[in-house]
Amino acid sequence: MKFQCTLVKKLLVLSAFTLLLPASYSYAHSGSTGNEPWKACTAKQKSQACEYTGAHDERYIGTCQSISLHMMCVRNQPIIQSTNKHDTQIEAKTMVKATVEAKVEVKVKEVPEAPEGAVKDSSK
Amino acid sequence: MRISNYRSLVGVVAFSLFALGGCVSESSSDDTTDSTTESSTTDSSTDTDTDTSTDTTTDSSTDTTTDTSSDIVLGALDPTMFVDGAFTSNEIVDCTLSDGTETQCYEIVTTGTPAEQTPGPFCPRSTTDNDPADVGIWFDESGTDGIVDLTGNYIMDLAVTYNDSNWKLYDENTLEVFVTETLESCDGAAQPNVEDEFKQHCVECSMDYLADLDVTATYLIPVTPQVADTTGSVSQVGVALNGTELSAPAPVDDILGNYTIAAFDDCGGHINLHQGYHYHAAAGGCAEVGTQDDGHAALLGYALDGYGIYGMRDENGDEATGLDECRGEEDDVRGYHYHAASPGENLFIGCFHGKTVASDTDAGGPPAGGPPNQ
Repeated sequence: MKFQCTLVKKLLVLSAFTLLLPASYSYAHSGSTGNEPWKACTAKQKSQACEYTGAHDERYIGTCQSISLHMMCVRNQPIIQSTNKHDTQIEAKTMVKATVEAKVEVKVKEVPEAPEGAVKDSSK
Repeated sequence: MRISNYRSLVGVVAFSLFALGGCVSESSSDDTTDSTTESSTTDSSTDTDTDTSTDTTTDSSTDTTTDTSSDIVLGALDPTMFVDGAFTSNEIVDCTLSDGTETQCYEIVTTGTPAEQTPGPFCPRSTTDNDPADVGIWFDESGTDGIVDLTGNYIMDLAVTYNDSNWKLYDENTLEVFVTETLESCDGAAQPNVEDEFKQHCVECSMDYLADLDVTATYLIPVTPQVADTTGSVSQVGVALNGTELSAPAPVDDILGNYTIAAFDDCGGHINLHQGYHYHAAAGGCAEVGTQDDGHAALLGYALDGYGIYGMRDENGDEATGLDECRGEEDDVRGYHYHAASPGENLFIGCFHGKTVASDTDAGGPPAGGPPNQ
């Protein structure tokens, strides 16, 4: 019974992870309207410093410029990639690895469970 | 997160409590302890050589009218850098700059059709069209350099992408993507105020629609760039080496607000009935044909003030540092020049470093549409 509960818990964790993964993936894509360069220059004057953050936490740093009569943040520095991106990728890979390991563990535990009866039978 | 995900999550939690509850009672009865606490989520976001030469003769097009002889100064427009067929004529004419300066300009006439490039593809026809080679691109921060392939899957996911369940650019039964496939629908959807019948469409126009329309553009660009006292505001940017207009930012908010996607091809361009084919982004390296011997980013076109616009990255993939607020810099080979922004930034340069032709004699096609609403 103890093993069965462990198995149930593992499966539940796997199920939850499987559901949450696409949910968080979708969230990462939501609201991608590309308005940030304009928002970054709201109430700012031409040539004032500005910056905004992209979907991957990369930073765009520049100055406000009048583009088509609207103030827009124009980057004039190389895009600064976020170190969090690397961390996030590592985290994601770790999660996937943990999931795979959990699956393997479940399968490994399943193997002795099934032949257990057989062993008992053979011992008879 | 979509509502369906919440429902699923609630279901899982409920089932988990039920199942674990059973385990707890069993554990108690078995007098064992097996605490498993694994609760975590992950955000899986991924992630012209314009050398100085004299007596330049332009022969970009077979029917070119050429009398463009001049002394080209460092950083100035070099007509020989344009590809064959980029323009139908290029003459040097008198012109007046925005501060009243009388000077000479190249008067370059283009056709609205890119030379040595076939526009498209743009929209997927079905939600099953997921080969990047068969579809165009669209702005999305989640993609590399701010662009993504406009695949059928992407079309299906628009409601999630924009967190708006009203998005429906495809038929759920047939999986057909709603694409503007007639001149009427192209015209109706490719404008700020889209009628209801043309909303919920992936917008693309065919070059065939331009056959009876005048989409020629005339650019007046100073033969010798002159630094302006104050930098100038940008709308229309300039002209690419293949004769394609480098346009103002695409009005993304207007486009999305009408539940349309104004698809670009992989080169960052698309077609409308006023400008013909034009670029909103320097994508795919399509326009960057003016390779440089020193590994510098390639020349892709010229701004209306006469300075060259180069790609964003050099041959090593590195960006220039120390750009000014116009996204320009100066070196001994190219003089003053610009570097285009990344495709997803929806712009090429930040401002005009030099003087442009006065507005009352302004050249070029119609404005490239307004910026996003704020």
